[in-house]
Amino acid sequence: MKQSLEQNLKQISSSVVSPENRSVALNNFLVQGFPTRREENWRYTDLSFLKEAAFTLSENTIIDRLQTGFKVGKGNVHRLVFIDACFSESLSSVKALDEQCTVLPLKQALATNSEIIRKYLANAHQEDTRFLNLNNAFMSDGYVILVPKGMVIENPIHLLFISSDKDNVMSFSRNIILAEENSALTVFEEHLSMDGQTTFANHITQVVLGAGARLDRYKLQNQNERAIHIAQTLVDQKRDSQFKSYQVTLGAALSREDLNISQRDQGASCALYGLYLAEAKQHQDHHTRIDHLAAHGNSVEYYKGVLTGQAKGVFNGKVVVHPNAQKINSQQTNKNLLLSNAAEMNTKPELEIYADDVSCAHGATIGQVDSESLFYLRSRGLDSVSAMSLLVQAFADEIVETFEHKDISDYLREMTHAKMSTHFLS
Amino acid sequence: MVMHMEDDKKKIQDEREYLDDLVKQRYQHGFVTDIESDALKPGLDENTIRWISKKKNEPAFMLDWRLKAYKHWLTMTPPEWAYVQFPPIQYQDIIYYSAPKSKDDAPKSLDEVDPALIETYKKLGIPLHEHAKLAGVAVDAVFDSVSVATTFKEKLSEAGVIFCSFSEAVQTYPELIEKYLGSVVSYRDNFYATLNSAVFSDGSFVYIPKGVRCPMELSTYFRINAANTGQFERTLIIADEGAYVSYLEGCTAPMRDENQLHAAVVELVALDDAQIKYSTVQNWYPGDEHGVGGIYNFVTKRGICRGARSKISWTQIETGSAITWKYPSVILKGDDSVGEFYSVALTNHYQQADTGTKMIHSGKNTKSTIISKGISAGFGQNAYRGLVRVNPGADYARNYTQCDSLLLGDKCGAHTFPYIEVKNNTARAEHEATTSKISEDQLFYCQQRGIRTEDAVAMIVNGFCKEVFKELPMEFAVEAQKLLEVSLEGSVG
Repeated sequence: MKQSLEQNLKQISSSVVSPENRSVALNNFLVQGFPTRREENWRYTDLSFLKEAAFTLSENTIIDRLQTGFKVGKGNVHRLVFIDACFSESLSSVKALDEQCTVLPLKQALATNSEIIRKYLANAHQEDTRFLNLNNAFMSDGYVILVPKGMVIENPIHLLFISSDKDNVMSFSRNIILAEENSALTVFEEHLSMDGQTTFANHITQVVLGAGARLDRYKLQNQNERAIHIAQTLVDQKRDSQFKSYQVTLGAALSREDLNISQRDQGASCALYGLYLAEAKQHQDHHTRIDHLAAHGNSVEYYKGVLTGQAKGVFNGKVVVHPNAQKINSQQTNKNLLLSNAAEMNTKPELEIYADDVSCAHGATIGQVDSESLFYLRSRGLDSVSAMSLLVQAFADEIVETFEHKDISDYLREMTHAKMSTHFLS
Repeated sequence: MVMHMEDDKKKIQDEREYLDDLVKQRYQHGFVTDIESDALKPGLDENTIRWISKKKNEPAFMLDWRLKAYKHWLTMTPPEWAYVQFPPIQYQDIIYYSAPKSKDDAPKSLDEVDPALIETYKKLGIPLHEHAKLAGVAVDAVFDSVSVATTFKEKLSEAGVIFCSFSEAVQTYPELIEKYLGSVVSYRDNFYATLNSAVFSDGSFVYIPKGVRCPMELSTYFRINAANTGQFERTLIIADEGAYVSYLEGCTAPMRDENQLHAAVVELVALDDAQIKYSTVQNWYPGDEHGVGGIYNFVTKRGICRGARSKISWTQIETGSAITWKYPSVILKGDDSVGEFYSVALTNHYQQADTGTKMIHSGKNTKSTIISKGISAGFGQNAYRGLVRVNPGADYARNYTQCDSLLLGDKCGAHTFPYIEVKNNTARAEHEATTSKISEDQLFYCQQRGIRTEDAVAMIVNGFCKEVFKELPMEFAVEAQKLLEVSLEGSVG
């Protein structure tokens, strides 16, 4: 693995990071190595196979067609498209955006706004720095969204990441969203694969929400059944800011989502919703961590999963209330349906609380479709497949219904229903 | 109006004084009985183990087993994943064996027991003498490491129940020991259990034969006495087919400044249709209000429901010890077996507790219930850590877990780390947890009805723990409530 990574480093042409910094980062990573299952955070997700794997970077792949079916009802859609984490100008379109607002690929943004962006890139902080180092070594490009004070962007910004049809390609993107005071925006990140090749993708997204800023972030991960998708999202919330995250995980052979939120000032709130559907031998791992560092914070979390085949699911939701962060309200729920005997779910909702005037709760369930509900539907004349699919869809739709943006919600509903009807209910 | 305010002020002042008194209340059971101890020099090597084994006149298989454990222990490192902090333990500074001198001329009846010992028990309020009969409790009292007196033996032996010290069992029933020792907690299990396997000095042994319902509650009181003596107890309870036993364990320890290590192992085996109910009230010296001293309680407790329709139930009230590290677990191997865990853990001052349970479902239609109540006050850190695992063959397994934490004071911490692993699609696992402080509404309601803050808090906390208390045998339920009140009062106001 070491040789192959060092080989790749020589060939990289992207200028977003200087070659010296890249090799420092790679050396740091090589010292650390890939995580092992002996570590608490990777207890249920085995990455040991990566040690043997040899991926290469790919640049300049051209695709002539957008792979997504996502449309916006009216108005323009702002869209940045990345192929193997390299920006594709021909497929992207950012129309009619205010001049003061930046929606650019990282490479171009660095040309105009270098200082501030370099500052944020250097500020990425996470307990586990391995993928950060790897990303620092290999990032090709990514998106940068800077929204100035008080600006509200009506239409969603669509960020499309496509893994090309080349085999054994690895791609690294680094993304920044910086929403200044009282601004508001909606972003929709979509991850797709063109063909059934083995790919490795790592995406690190840094979000900073200024006082009173609002961000709705949707993410659909719908890569092919051989893809490996490892993503970290690091969110910093200032006073009274609001963050909503909607995660839909359908694809990839192995996916790992880390969503870390730090509420640094009073009155911040976040709501995290997630839906994951895993079949065959898929492995889907969701880790969330919410740090309440200041008083009067709020967090709501609701993740649901349906697993069938020999799929394996992991949910780990951690809420930390730091000393003196009083008046915190935190609710977390994780519910799972196991539809086959070989499917497996591991869930671990954690609370770590160092302040007394708080109200925190979490709940987790793992089970199957309620037999009495099933019986009720059967007694009304539904056959077993229809009854089952009605109940499973209703289970999943509870998350879909929290999606506020109509166009995105419609699209995601369509995608989840498509996956369910082909893999889950036949 | 002014009058009222002054009244109020005075009232508040009174209350403060009262609270201060309570807060400074010293550990009631802290005293040292001066008995010449027959102790080893501090330190641990193979010779220590041979010495202990020889001293206890053990058969060869015991020595082999101890030595295997010791060799394995040398390859191990102490676990670091728990949310507890303490300076590294110097295992070579511990005295691994200490028995009261009077052991050599073994007492045949209570009259022969060292009066100083009896006095100690009286101070602790143990119903050993006439109390024993009144309370209907048979006591196998462990003073440091050797059992000194056993009562009600005749009555138990009439029923065919074997209840004796571990060393006696090794001599009298070596075949049972050889068969079951280490069958639930193997000598390779974990750092502290392995250490215990190598050096354990004594403990209790219970065997309930087929179809026998043990005629009385069995109880053992553990005490740590001689200074610097790590106490390594080992308890083995076997309930044969259709048997029932309820076992009570309660602990108090004298006041000390150095931290003392306690690494016990408890093994329970339930065969077909057998039931074991194991209750603990643990009130060892928790250290003073500055976190100096106190017992390190690193205990491995595990039961196996080996037979169909068997049941194991753990109930624990943990108010003592500077550090508590224990996870009473149940392996649900037999079909239709049941595991239960009821726990109240309280941490005050600088106490730390990392406790919980493991329920491993392997048999079909197995059920487990976990109710855990954590209370943190002062600078206490209280963590629930639990595992519910449903293996592929455990069809229709069912688990319900509820763990609630109550925070009293803004310097303490309450943590929850539940692991739920399900590999069977007919199984159901539910977990819920809440963390909050005592509701101001509830307090206000009590106060406006003339109940003092202290009493109101005690009442609310008792209500919070009621689900667990009701699982305790009568004698313990009373003691447990009292314990909580004493440990808690003064930490709120």
